[in-house]
Amino acid sequence: MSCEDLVSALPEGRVITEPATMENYRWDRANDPDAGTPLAVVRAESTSDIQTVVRYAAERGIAVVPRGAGSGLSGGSTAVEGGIVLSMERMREITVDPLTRTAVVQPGAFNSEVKAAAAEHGLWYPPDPSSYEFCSIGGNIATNAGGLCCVKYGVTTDYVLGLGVVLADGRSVQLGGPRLKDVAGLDLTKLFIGSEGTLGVITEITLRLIPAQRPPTTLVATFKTLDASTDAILAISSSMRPSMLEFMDRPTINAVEDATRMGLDREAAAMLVVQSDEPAEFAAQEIAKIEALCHEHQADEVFSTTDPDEGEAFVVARRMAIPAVEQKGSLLLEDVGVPLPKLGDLVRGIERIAQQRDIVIAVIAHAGDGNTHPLLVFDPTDHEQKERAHLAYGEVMDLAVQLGGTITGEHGVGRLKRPWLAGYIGADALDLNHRIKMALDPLNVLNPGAVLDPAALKS
Amino acid sequence: MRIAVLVKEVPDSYGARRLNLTTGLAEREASDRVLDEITSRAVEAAVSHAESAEGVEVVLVTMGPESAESMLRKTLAMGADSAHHVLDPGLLGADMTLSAEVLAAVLQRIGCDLVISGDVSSDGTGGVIPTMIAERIGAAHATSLDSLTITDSSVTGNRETYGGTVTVEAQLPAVVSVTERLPDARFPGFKGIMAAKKKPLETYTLADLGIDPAADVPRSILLSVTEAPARTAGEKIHDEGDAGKRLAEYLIDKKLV
Amino acid sequence: MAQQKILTYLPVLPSGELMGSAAELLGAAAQLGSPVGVIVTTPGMAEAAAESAGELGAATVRVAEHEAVGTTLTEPTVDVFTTAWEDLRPEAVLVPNDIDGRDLAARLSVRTHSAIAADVVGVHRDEEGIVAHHSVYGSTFTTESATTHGTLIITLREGAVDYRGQPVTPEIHRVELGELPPQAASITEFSASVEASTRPDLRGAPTVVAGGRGLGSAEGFALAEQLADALGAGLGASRAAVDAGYAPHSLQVGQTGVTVAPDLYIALGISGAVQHLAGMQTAKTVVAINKDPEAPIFDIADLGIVGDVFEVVPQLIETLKAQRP
Repeated sequence: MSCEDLVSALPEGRVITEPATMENYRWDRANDPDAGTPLAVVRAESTSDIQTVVRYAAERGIAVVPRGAGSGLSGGSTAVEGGIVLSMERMREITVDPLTRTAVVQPGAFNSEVKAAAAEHGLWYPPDPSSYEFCSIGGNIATNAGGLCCVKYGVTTDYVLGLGVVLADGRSVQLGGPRLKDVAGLDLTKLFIGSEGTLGVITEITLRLIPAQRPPTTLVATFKTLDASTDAILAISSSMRPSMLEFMDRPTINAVEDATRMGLDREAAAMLVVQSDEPAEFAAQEIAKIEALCHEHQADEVFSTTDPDEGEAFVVARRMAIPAVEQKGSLLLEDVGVPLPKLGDLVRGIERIAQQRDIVIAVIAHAGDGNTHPLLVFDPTDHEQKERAHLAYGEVMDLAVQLGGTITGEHGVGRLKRPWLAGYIGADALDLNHRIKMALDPLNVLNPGAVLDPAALKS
Repeated sequence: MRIAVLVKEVPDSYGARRLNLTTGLAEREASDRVLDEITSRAVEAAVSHAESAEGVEVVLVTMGPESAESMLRKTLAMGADSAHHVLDPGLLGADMTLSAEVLAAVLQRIGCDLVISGDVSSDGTGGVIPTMIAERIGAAHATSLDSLTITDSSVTGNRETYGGTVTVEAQLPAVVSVTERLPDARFPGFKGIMAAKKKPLETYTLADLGIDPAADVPRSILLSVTEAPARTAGEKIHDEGDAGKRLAEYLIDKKLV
Repeated sequence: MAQQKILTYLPVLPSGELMGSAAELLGAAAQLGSPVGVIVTTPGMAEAAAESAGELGAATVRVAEHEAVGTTLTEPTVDVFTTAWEDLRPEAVLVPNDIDGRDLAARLSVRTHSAIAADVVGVHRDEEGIVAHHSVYGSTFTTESATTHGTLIITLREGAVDYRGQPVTPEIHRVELGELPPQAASITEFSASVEASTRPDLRGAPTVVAGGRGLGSAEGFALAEQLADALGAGLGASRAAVDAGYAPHSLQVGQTGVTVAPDLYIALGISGAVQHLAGMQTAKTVVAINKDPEAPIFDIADLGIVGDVFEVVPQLIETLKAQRP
């Protein structure tokens, strides 16, 4: 199909049809091998551009895949064969209003750019996915992204007050706005958060900002046994709310040591990285208490510092985890979560799966909220091993569900995790998903194949 | 044995770097200030030798503004034993003659058997300071080494030069500089980070070193600074089966072949 | 007034030939005054080199031959230059900005109390003396410097100067080496470069062909080699190509590799990351071939070709062959 009429319907320079350039828009970081070749890529510059694209596609029954920065990990913005990739990369205006402590942001702005704009007014936008330097705020809304500070400050949805959305029929609606309280009608704003581009295209976001975070006090602790570390996590999180509580297992510690040569204990079964951002005096008390709890649970080594620069140097061990494991091979990045008391069972179960499938699985976790990222490592040229990794990927999700957990804590279902959705949420909840999708996008134009099975939607 | 490592704080080359068009000095606000990557490899070389040999002390030496102190602390955390910082407003815009004089003076004051430096800094790109220091302190030099072996009395390494690779050996005291073929730097460990703040960090003024920046010696002076016009895109053609021929014509026409 | 002497270091390759950069060093010297070439070699190597120095414009050549040149780092050359400096009081000393040139410049500047201008990309003379041009921060700024008084020692970036001297029959002066300092580093071994080929060195080559990730594989990278050989060009690579194992690190052009300033730079399958551009954007003419019409390299290319390198380059080589049988 040609798309000359799409080119002429939009201002000049919006549409790309050059195959070599479109290659850059086919995949997100999930590298879905089934990615299609799009008909065109549109780089929208306004809500009106987006409306034009959606109307064009709806009339012709062409798929529209909204795309932020392409940093997604579940294949939520994988290109669909013959569809239109609708890129938000050029829509990145940010306006901060210090009086209402809100920011109005276009979807293509990076998370880090929003943080920086807020910081200019002494304000803070907390959600901090590890990809914050190269992920878009629109993508954060689409996946309801989390991050490291969520254990204390909540996830993306807790900071979204309003959305501008282009619906599947091309209408543009404004939901919510710069008001902390607003209970008029159903909470439609929340409906679109985490909808992964399947219900509408987000064009503008009103974000809640809070006062700048205080410089943190930081602690690291290593443990000889896994049980000791998970017991310590439970003890900490049942009595306090640290602003960061991160976990790394032995394979992760060893990968980080290989990459950084920073002298980590390769024999340690687990390491925790903890921060408190309470005012200095309270932070000191909190960290002292955490230190005592770590020792009580047979921590091997504990270091703490009130110096923010030193704290940042401590946290490097955690920030390096994914890049370090990535040096071992290709990754399947899991995102399962369990209720905290089950964290130990989950990590032990993952260890078993790794042994049975004979692959390396390194586990990092936002331990304070039970959200884990098992990193499944495989050699991309070894097809047999790659297959085993994919089997293990599913088994990890099955295990999480068995333990009362979720198949995805913050990355979204996308295309990679779609086969596991029904088994996790159950038939009735899936039916609700289908009905809402059909109500808002009856032609299944918006991001078809993400989250929900297109075949199931037709029936 | 005491090894001195020359470390340098530079504008981060992964971001925009600017010169002030009036003063010709680097604009501090334009970029993040980081430890020059090549000097971090020099630190790694010294620290890893100190780990493998008995009685090796590693000292860091720098000249630069106050902000360099935080860079020194971070670098101490990698495992160096102490740091020495020449901090003086008279050093603003120092030429290489003055820089080498200052660094040589502080090295002589500390006393050391071996000096390790990066081969070429990412901001000044001069690459002459290490050998200038060697001349001033009466030591051998062995620069731009792609490998480095240190013993109690000598250093050995390979360097790429005219038409081949030479192996050079210098008896201590010596000044060496290393290339990015050497291993990259480790990250500071927790113990190192905690220990860094207690390690000695000494600062010196030019007066402490007995150096007069206004002395009447030949100096390199800056005459002008201009921002290079950005390169602009020329002609862009899409291959329609004859681009190879058209390129050949273009090159012949411009007498480039 | 007699022309000022410009002492010029002319390194000699193991083959006995002058280094390629001799032409531009003598060219730059001729722009400033009367070039005096200096050749320091092991015995039996200097004569032919001195003759070629004349062809490149060295009216006078100082020649020193000594066994120590092959066994002692830098000091023999520094010794010859120090004596020449005392004899002639040159207005400038020109050396190549490579590792041996920098060592010579460094020692000599301290020994003679002279100012130094390093990594210079051009020179001229104004009413007050010699002015050196620098290209700063990956060619985003240019500066000019001079010495307050005395000799200016200049290390000249290869490929930066176009001016060439007039051929002359050189007056050759043989000089003896003085006593060398005992602490000098010694050269214990030399192995000729295995990459030695007829291909010119990347740093000084007037034409450079560089390959990137777009060549797809180490086998695909051979296309860049073919074009380089067809053009008599130096061969370079982007960091992405080096990281992917298509080319050795010594070929890397860019921020953390070699900086080049050729007359012609042909980029094959290189997208043009800022770090790469920093190493080549002072090239006089840039040609880029890439499939992706939005590749950033096109923003700085004088001629950009959107197309498949594996189609465009073979056709280019064929056409050039046909033109020059």
